[in-house]
Amino acid sequence: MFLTTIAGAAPVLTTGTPGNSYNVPPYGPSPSFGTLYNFDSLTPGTTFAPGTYAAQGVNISSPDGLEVEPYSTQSGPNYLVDTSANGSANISIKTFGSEEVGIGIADSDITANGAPVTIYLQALNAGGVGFGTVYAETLPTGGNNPGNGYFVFADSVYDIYGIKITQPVGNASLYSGLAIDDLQVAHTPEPASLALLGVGAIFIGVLRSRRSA
Amino acid sequence: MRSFLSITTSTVLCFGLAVDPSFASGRVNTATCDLSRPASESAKPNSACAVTPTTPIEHVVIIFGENISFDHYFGVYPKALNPPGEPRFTALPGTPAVNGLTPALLTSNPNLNSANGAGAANPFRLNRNQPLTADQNHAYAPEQASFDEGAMDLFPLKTGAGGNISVPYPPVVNTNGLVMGYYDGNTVTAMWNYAQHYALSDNSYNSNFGPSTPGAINLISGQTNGISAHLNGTGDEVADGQGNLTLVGDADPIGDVCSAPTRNQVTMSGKNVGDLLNAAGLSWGWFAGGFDLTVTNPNGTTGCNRSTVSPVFGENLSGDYIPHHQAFQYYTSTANPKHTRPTNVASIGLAGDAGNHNYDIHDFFDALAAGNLPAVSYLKAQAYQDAHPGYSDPLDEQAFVVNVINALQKSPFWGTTAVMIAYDDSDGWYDHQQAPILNGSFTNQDSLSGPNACGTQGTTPQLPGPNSGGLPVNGRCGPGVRTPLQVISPWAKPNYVDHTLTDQSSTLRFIEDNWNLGRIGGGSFDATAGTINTMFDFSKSTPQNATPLILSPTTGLPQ
Repeated sequence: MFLTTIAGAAPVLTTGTPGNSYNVPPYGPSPSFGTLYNFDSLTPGTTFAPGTYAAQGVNISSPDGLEVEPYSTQSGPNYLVDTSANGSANISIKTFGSEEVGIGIADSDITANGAPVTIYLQALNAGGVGFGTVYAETLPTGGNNPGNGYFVFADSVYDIYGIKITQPVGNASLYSGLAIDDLQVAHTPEPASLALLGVGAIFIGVLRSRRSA
Repeated sequence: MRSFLSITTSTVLCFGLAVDPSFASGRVNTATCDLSRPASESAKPNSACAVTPTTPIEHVVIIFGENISFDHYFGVYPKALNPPGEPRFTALPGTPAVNGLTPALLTSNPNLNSANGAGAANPFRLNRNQPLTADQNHAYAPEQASFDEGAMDLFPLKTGAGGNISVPYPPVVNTNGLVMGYYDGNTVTAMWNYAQHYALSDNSYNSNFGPSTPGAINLISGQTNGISAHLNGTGDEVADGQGNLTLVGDADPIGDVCSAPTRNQVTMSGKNVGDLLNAAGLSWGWFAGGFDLTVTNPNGTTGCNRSTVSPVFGENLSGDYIPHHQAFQYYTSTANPKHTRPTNVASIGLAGDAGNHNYDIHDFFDALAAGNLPAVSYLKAQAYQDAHPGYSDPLDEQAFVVNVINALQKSPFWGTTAVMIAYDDSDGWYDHQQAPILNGSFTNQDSLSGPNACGTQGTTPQLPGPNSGGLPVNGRCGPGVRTPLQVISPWAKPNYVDHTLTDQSSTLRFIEDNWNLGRIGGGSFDATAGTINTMFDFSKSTPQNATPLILSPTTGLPQ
């Protein structure tokens, strides 16, 4: 049985622990799963191309543009920053159909009252459209780096095709706003891959039955 | 007579001067002084008052950090980059400018000078995930050489050292150009927040060039000349021209059980502020991390080898106790060479206490909690929190400083306390501002104004040593590199930047003046040091800056 996405379903959002960039273990996020994209091999100070990971079926974009910066507060050194002029953000992370997608978010923006700003997270379906619950989150402020969080969308029934991150309010300054790091994707095997796996299993079974005969 | 004097109406012959719990009013209760009762038995917290202070300040606490130049922490104050996820800093309206890194210095810095080779660089921002860096060269001669006779353009070549950094960005951090790095309010967040609410000097300097020990000695005596004994050579000294030696390097104190046996060691002659405080009957103490040799650290280390793993960078790169940072151990009259423990918590700081005024940093907190805050306290953090590059960092330093100040602000002493944050040297980090040469020196280690010269012989003043018969001595070229100086007190001017020319012995002068102790004399810099009284507002009878500022020790943000 292959998993399919149904608009209106409700992937579950859980929070994890972000990695840190101070050379103190644990370096990466928790939980750890699937394939990790931490942007650390990219060149700091450059514009991020949305199709950088197209070969892996991942596309990361923002209408504001994204920049690679070396100031990650999660696993160091780099992260991607939404370059919105007013500190807001609207990032789409599109993946192949997956069972789990995790993302680290850094943001120290605060409201006029000094409270953390609200960030909205929603899973994407196969059409790149948000589906299920829109989660409103504020990033914890008590740690060594305020505004650091790690979030995982998981769905055991339907595929997830990415995450949409929206921050409508921000504090404008050069790099304030929202940054992402340590994208993790646990891919659901593609149909063709599963077919090959099945053929392989049958082949192995045939071999074993011949040897035992 | 200024109006505040009306609240300290008589000379108090005791160490038990108590502060009225309504300290915010600034009123001092002089009626409860009771020499016979230890602090733990007193209904009100003890202070220390053999003589009437000339200002409302009854307690001076000097946090003496390590190895920071002014531009390294405050060069771009009050503008922080504010990357996502880091503690945000936005300056209050009306924040005054500092003499910092101008656009021209940031983009066309003289240290782009090709003589600096691969290290030629403009100043650049170090990020909060780069707290641990390589240690720069901060010896007496290279620091002068980096000034290039006033051109201020040879820091990478003369004092720079690269590497040892968690995030190798920008690439210049792996070259001597690392010396041009600076932090902003996203890393030194607490320091910037204190500056927003209290007083910051942008014109304060090392009394003379050189590393930790001369800085520590100048802090308490203003005099690095007059070495009375030395062991294991004289590598950290220079001939003073009058048959004696001047300390210019990091010799260990003779007799300290933790001094390295084969390292150059010295004893200083002359007086220090401890002698003056003793003569006046005032309580005082030097509180140093790792001093208590009876403690076993969580990692199992003991004695002189106690050490601590930094929670920021996850390594243990130094013992907690560093003998050549301990100023009073160099003077026979004020040393505690065997690290004898205090008689009890209530006697900490008092004459006759077994610790002879030298204690562990935990003794400071223990005494404070017991209602015993000496008149003068010098605090030296355990090494991993002292800010020294190579084994400490600004975030560990921040945790120490904030914990001290939070504890004081929550104590009943706060209404009459002044905290001063000062540094022993610059580490060699870039700073663009040179002070006028106020004290000359003419040795082969001097180059500030030309070969073998700091100043003009016969023209530039040159102070004597304690035993030179009034004749000028060499090895005290200064002022040296500019370092931060902050005053945090209910009596400090709020969000104020002071431009008065001061040096390390200015805090010494403040203590002397505050209790009418007289001067060290014998060529001490205290005679010529600029005043830091301009960082206070003593014009009213009540403190005008009484609202405490409690910060987070991890983020430096207000709590």
